[in-house]
Amino acid sequence: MTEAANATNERALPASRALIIELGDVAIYVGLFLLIAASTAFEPTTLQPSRLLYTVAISLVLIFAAVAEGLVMLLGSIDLAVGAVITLVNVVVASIVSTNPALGIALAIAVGCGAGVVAGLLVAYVRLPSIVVTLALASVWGGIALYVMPTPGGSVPALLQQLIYGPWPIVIVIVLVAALYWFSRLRLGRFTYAAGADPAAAFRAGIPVERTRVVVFGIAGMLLGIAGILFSALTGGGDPLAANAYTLPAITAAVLGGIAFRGGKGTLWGAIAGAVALTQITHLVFFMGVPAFYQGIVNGALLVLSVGISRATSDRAIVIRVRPMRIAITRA
Amino acid sequence: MLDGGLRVVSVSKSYGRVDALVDVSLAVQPGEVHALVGENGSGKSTLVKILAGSVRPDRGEIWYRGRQLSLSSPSHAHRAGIATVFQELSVIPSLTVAENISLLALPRTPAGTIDRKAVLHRAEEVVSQYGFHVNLDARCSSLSVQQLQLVELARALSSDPNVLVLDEATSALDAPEAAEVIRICRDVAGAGRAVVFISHRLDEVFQVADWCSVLRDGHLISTRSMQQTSRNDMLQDLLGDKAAAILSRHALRVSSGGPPLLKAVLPRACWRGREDVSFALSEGEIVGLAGLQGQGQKEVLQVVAGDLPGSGKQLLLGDRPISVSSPADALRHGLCYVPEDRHRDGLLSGHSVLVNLTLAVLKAVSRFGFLNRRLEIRLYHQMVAQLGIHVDSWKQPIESLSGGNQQKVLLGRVLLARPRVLLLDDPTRGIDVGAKADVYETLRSLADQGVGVLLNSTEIKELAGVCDRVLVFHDRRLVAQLAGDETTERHLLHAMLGESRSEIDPRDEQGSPQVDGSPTRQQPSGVST
Amino acid sequence: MVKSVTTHGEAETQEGSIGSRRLADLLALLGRSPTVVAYLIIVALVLIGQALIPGFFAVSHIVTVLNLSAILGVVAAGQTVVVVSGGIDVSVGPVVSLAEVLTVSWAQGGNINGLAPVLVIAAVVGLINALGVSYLRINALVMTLGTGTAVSGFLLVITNGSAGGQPPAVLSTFMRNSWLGLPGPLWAWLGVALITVLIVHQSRFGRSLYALGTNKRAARVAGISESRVNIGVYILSSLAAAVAGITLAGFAGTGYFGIGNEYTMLSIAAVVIGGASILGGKGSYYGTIAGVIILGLISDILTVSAVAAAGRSIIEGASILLILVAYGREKALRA
Repeated sequence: MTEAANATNERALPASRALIIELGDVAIYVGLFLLIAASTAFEPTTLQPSRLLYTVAISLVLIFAAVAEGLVMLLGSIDLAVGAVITLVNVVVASIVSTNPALGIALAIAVGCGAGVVAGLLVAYVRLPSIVVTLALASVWGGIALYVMPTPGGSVPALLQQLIYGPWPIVIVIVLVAALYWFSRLRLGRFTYAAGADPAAAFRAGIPVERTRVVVFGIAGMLLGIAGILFSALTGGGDPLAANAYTLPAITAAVLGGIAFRGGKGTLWGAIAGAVALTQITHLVFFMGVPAFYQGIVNGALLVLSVGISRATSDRAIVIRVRPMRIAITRA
Repeated sequence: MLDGGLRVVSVSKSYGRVDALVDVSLAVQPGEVHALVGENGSGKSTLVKILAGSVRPDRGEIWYRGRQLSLSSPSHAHRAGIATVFQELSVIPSLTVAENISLLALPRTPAGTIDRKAVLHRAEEVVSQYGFHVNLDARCSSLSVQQLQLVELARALSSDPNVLVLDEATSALDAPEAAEVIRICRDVAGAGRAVVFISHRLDEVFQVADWCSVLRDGHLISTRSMQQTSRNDMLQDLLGDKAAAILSRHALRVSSGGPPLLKAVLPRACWRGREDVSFALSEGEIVGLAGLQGQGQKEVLQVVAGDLPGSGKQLLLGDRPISVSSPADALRHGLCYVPEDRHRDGLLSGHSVLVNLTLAVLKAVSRFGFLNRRLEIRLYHQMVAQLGIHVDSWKQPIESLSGGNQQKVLLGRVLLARPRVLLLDDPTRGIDVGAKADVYETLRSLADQGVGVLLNSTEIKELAGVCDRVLVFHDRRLVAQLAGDETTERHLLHAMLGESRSEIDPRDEQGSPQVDGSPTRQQPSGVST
Repeated sequence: MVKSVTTHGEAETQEGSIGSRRLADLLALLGRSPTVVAYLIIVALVLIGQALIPGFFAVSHIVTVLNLSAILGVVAAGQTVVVVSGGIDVSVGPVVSLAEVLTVSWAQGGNINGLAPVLVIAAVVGLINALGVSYLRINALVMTLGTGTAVSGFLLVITNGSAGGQPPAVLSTFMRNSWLGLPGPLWAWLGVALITVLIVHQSRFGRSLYALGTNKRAARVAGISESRVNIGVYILSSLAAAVAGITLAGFAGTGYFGIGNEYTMLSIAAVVIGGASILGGKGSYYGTIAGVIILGLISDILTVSAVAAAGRSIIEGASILLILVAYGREKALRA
């Protein structure tokens, strides 16, 4: 063991003596803070509690979509069927479940989970590339959605529609955050990062990579099921095409939140923050009077920018040592 | 017939038409260290993968203590009590050392989450039992390759395996760490476990093993007790008929080279060393870069080759200053680089030998942007003849060639580019003795034609036998330039360990020059780092 | 990510034994040449089509199918170049739309000079993609996703939301008529196909594509400049998309903002069905052509069978999956 290498390597110190903060993970929070500050400058009511609640409420669908996409991206895969699954859940809930909220929730989660597991099986055991699989599945789910409900209509149980009002959005987000924390402490959580960072090494180490993939895709699917419920709550009805637009923003939000495409890097809380940030940016752009036409350019630029920032902060971390007191910014 | 211990019974495995293992049987008793040796292509890595559960044999069985094992996946193998330490690491970088050690049996709390205290506790047990020196809380992404290898070993031990399999576990390690691994092997065996030790370093095999099985071309040639075996016996088994041809020491080169060819001045920042370094290379000279791992000699080579940015460096070719900021620049000036890891940085898998061979001279084999297939084939034949590459047709996929022949293809690739200076990083690592000899021949004849060679090597024997001059690095400084009759293994070793020439004790005989071609490392006696 | 290489270069078969050795050998052979399988699937589809709809195999009908596939064939040519080099271009759909709408609204039925700016814009988009991927080291999917979104927005801005006008007369005439028995778009495809085959399979640039897609590090060490190759790659892809859009404009006669959207996914599907690996280094335009024809045949069979939009979507998606299961599988983890 070369002493020289060790002495200059801050991160090799025991964790109990040093706190390591990955820049890529916290960048989004800094960005979100700046964003809210800027928003308040343009629109002073931004920070009012009712307004904040409203922001969270309208970000809810994207939050769940972004976390679902983020989970899949942590594995090193990508899910281009996010929008299609939400659509499918939406039409199922709106058409089959008109009056029974419990059935609605159960069905939504089942459909979402099922869709996720199908994708997971194809990627993990049949070994198809996720980009093509999810693209094709998006076609399939979209077709089924069209079949179930050819034209917009249906109705959503009133109880479910309440989910976006009052304190519920905040409650839902808090529950999500807690659930993600629990997930991060599970073995499955570690296995996810391992499978994403280096699947071959994880396999050699005896980690059940394939099973992990299927389970994670399934969990992502469940989250999309919840997103579908929330989307139904938001729109009050079913639409076989509307939710397709969520795919690209979900990816953007996840990337904004610090999750890397190659897998094994980033946090799911970041994806939540990314979703809120993206929603707020969209609102801000609209509020500033930019014509709707420019939205596309803004979104596109945002995506590229977020990846650029991600690259700039990649593998850099702030290392804070307690004794002797020292703060340094290092590369891995 | 002994019932205890590990028994491999008539195992065979083929990949398509190639037989990797043919009816191999061996037995390892508890408390025994059993070495497995063989050249590349002998099948030993396939056997290891079978034991580890990564590969399933076509025929044959594995038994342990009278019970047949089903090793259908790595997790099955673990459950069966076989722990394998591969050469390719399987440490998960995003986890800490303690987590990696306890990886396969991460203890859980009632809530289902990982029990951090228990993880640490398990890891501490293993580390203290076997005397490892690792920092349990460190994240593995920040550790060096040597440290990772030890973490890998600790993980294998943490499951308290019945059988410990070490596949070239010492090849990335320096002498002190390798010695630690060897000691641990003996401790594990002493505790009543079976140890299978795969290595191509015969010195280590003689140190650690009780028994040794030799594989050649997929067949088991012999299983010998180490007490009753000599090195020559081993070589005979390993090489078969080739042994006789290679039993001669490489002749010392006595060339002082021609006019100056390359001069390099590297400020310390650009090669991450402690001092600035400068050296020169003459036409027809073979200069070696030597040192223990991580002393900077690899970076020096990579900077000259343009593989590392190396800002601030000055290179003079002949007497003209040149600027090299990428391997493409280097190629343009006639500096041709062959990286160390041929699979990761050299070969295009899935493509033919021809495509691999002509990759660096695409411009030369095309007219108006279109490739001239006939010219390519002509060059292919030329290189096959010049380097003695064993290949049937230019269409063959590159993976179908043995390691040695693949390395020759890579060498041929740069030779086609008409190098003035060859920059080689460990060119003979992991290739069979015959191919090695061919490579040395080629280098010598190139040098005779005036090409300069800068050779980074980890084998002292190779440096001593092939190079005119050797630049030795220690503590990230250039500490010695050995030339002429100073380029002996003994001098090299002392220089690599940082001892000055006056410290070399004439009585400290490292053993007479071996009359063999096998790659071994001299083990220093009583040296601590 | 390191791709593990087996000693003998063949993917491990998934299960231990698949019945007889000969069947295993046959499957292995097919697995090694996905292009052959793709053409076999074409034959199968034609037979199915003939069974479902008499007259399917008539020359005029086949020509119609090929004609309708021509646009995708052109877009997929560019996508092939990108995918083989290890990248991906999801901005092709928006670029097709851009080219189509601009051709219609700028030319105003006038002469063909109006096409040059369209090609230039497409080339600029490609250049931006290349710069992002090579110099800013941004993941290709993200970069092209971003530019694609931006291009869609840009199109709206530049046309102020209205897509009126007429394509150049020469273009309309060419695309709407048949020449020597083949319709205009098919000629366009033929021309692009010829150029693509020359570039991808016969040229030095094409060799570097495969090198980059297989092993970036090795290509770099061998002196291939990734940034320079990428510039060529993404510009070619955008140009191909633009040519497709121009062809569409001549054929359709009116501008439509979303016209190019489906080509993104379809071009990727065609390339992968044709046997290319999404990771790069493997594949050929011959395979892509087969993939394009397969998709065209499936679409045609569904149209003639009057399957509703819902069913079409499902069957198209499922077909792609089925075909991929046959031979689009990546290497196993165990090797």
